[in-house]
Amino acid sequence: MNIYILIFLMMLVTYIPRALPALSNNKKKLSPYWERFLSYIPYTALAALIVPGIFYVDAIQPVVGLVGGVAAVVASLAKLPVIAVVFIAVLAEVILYSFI
Amino acid sequence: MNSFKKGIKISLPICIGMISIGISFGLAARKAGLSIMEGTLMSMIVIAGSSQFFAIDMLSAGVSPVVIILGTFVINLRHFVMSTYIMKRLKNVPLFKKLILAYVVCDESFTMFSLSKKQEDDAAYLGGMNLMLYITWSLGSFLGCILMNFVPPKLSDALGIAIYAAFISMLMPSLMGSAKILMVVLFTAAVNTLLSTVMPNGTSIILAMLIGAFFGTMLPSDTKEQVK
Repeated sequence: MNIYILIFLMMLVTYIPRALPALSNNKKKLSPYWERFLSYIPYTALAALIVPGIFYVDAIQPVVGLVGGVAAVVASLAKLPVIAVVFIAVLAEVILYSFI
Repeated sequence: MNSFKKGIKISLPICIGMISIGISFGLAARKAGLSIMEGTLMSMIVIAGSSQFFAIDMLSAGVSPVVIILGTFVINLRHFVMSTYIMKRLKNVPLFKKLILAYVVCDESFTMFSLSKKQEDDAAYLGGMNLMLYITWSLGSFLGCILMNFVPPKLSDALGIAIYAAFISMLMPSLMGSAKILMVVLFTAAVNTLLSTVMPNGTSIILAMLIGAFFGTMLPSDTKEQVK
């Protein structure tokens, strides 16, 4: 599929849920159950994206992903901004690659 | 100060974060094989960070576009809840304005808007915030895409971790704040690890995130929790 068509379709499936509440006049509310369900989705999406994918950053050596991941966790715990966390994880990989 | 300017002002701290995540996205997008144009346009058109990271991750893994679109839909469905709240506050605003404002409904704009008191002109206030978020997100992504041109090939190998480091950094603050989210995240990671051995990558991710969220709803609810 053409990447621009993909981007357009991604926009469509993202915009429709964003716009629907503007169109509806009814006062129907999402049940608390589904609200809770949806509130977990960002976290579960990130969890599923990280594990086990991070261990395949280097197709042969899972330790590469592990080291970068630990570096990112430590940097995040230090409350550094995203760009600094990314930088530190990449730096850890550069150092690691110079040893293995 | 009018509401529009107030909206711009309150968004400034978040905007620094948007630029930094944008740069990480731009780098990751180029690393996944997208062009500067493609990476930047994705941010300007979709405006939903986690789903964009998901999409480029899946693109580089060669996953079917159907799975990417389905995953994008599921990941961004939470904006429906946020938009419902926002639109309730904007109920006297003309429809076309609401439809434009809806375009930039995201975790950041929802959080800022819902935490601030009613303004003189709520629509202009949200408009100021949205405009700043939109500009910084697009600009950050563009900068990240450009930056990739200056990355030496040797460093490029190490950049594979960038996307995961960005994910981790987005996830960690919530993990530290809530034992429940920590449990849900560990559970989802385990489920996805199991599922990924028997089905394609993208499919297992979508299934795992749904199963993980169901698991979350089964945990006892506490009152401090809020929809984010």
